[in-house]
Amino acid sequence: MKMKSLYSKFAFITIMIMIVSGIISFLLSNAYYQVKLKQQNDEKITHFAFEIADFASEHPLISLEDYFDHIGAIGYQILLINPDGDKQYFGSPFRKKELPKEITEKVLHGEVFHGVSQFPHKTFVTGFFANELKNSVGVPLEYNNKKYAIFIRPDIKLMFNEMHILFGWLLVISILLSILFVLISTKYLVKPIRNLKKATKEIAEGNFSIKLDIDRKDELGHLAISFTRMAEKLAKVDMLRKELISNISHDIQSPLTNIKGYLNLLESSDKSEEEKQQYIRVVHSEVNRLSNMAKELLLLSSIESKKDMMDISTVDVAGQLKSVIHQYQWRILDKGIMMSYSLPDASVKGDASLLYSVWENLLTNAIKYNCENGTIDIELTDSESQIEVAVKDTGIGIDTNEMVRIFDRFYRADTSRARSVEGTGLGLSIAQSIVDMHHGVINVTSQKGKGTIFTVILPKM
Amino acid sequence: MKTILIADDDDYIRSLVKDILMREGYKVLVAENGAAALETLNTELCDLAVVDIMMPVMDGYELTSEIRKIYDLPIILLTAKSQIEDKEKGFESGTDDYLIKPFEPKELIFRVNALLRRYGNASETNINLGSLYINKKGYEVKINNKTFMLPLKEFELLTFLATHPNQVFSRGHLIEKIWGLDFEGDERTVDVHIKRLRERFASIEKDFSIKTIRGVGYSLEVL
Repeated sequence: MKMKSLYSKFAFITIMIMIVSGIISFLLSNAYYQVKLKQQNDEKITHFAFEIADFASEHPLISLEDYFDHIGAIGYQILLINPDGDKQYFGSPFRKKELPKEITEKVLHGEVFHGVSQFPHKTFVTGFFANELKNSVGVPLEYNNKKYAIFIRPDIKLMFNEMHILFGWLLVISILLSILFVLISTKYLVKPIRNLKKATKEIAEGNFSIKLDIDRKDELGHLAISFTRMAEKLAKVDMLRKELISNISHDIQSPLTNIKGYLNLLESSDKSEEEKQQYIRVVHSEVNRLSNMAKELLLLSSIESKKDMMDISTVDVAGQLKSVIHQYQWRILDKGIMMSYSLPDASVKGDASLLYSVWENLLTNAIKYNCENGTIDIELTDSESQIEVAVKDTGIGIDTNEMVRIFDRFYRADTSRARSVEGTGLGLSIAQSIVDMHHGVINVTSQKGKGTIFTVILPKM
Repeated sequence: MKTILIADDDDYIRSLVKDILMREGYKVLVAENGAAALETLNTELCDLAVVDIMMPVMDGYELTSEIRKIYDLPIILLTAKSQIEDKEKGFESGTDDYLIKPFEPKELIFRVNALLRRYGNASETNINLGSLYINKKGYEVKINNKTFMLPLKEFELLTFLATHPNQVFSRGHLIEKIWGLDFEGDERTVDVHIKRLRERFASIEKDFSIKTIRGVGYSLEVL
């Protein structure tokens, strides 16, 4: 039988456990009877047998037949053997009546037969209930100076019949009820898993707005909560992806349109040399933009894949900042910008090349969006647990309502001016991803028209 | 006319760099590898060398340390990779500056000009005026642990005034000293630059100030 559903598996296993534990407990209690109770039972019956026998020998006037008939009627099975070896049964009959001849002989000669304690034990049969002559106690009886033997055992059926039925029902009802409850509770347990299964199917088909009506505090409840969270995240990622694709196609399309347009203009021969130079410059800058975008998209995807395998080492942040300043020095001075900085030695654990691109991005932004003859100030602060890098510019600034969007991919400040400022709108998004990967934060404060301060705080880990 | 030596095995880069520098008015010599560059230096007097790192026969690092042994001229290393190890190895072999490929023509010109200026300034002493420190070779200004990189003319103006503290200079004099005799703009240029310098240092605690002397000109006063 092959079971596919968790429900049937769970129910089957639980019922199997019940059966197996039932068998084991039967075997154990049986063993307990064989080892301990059998002996006690034997002693008890032997005691009864002697009582009965003694009474008969002390009252020779009573008819033996009447006497044993009477005792048989109140719940004993009795075999009486007279000195000639004749057998007489009283009470309800034994199921099996074999008894070796030498045993009867021995009892007739005054020995006691402990059939109950000597009864051979079998694995699945409790001797207690065996209605056999061998499972009785035999005692000698002297009656009117003649030697008899009586074999006696309590009539279990007669004495415990109602108890039997009671225990039988108890057993049957408890088994039936537990099976029923197992089936019901399994259904209750498995139901949320079925719901989750349905939800995964929905997500696979692209429907992220799933609602799970699982209100539980156990592991399944937690699973449902994290599952819902996952679905929300996936929905967000899916939305971002769609937005990204539409942004990318727009951002690739517009420079391509420009390039095409200006190339067409260049083809027409009636343009002056100066105009042609101007067109070539436009084509140039658009090609640069495309190439930068390709580079940054590559960096962005490499960051996503690098998340789990950063190349961690001790990074000399002051040295990196000096390097970046040196690299862009000419552009800074070309724009008439004054650069000021104070860079005390400070280092942090991180990925050197990724962090370098953060500083590079912040500085190039500060240059790009600065005004002519503006200033840029870079301040590095080293404290016990973290380092802080603040890049302050006197540029165009950012609106409060733009502020939340600047870390979005492809978002660019001041769309009207964006054309004149080269950039892809990916830089800050990349910087933020990298800072996140280093468990740091990147903050921005800005005043429209006055300038912007970007602050990166990296913990020393 | 200053002479610049270019050592690069890449034909395209060689002619590109040559073209850019010749347009700037430099005399340019070219060499295909390190050994050829050393031969050229043997016969010709050069003011600056632009050296590519990856070259056959003798690579850029080796050439740089060879040049350092014999000549006193500034070197710019061209490197294809932006790796930090590259830069450090370059500085160890004695280069003055480096340029990462691909570079913009403007950047090359900026670095060449800056280096030549620095070497021209090499003999001049630095200025220490209270909390103001001017490193002439490095084109850096320091005030209370903070370093400032000023646009060239502003730096030169500040340096000139700081060399002669408390001395008053007329606008004409400053034009002549800083912009040169053939400068065609008017004297207002000086006012603009002075204004910018004042603005730049306005929010910084310092013990000097640039004073306007009515009808005469400007003076840097130590407080």
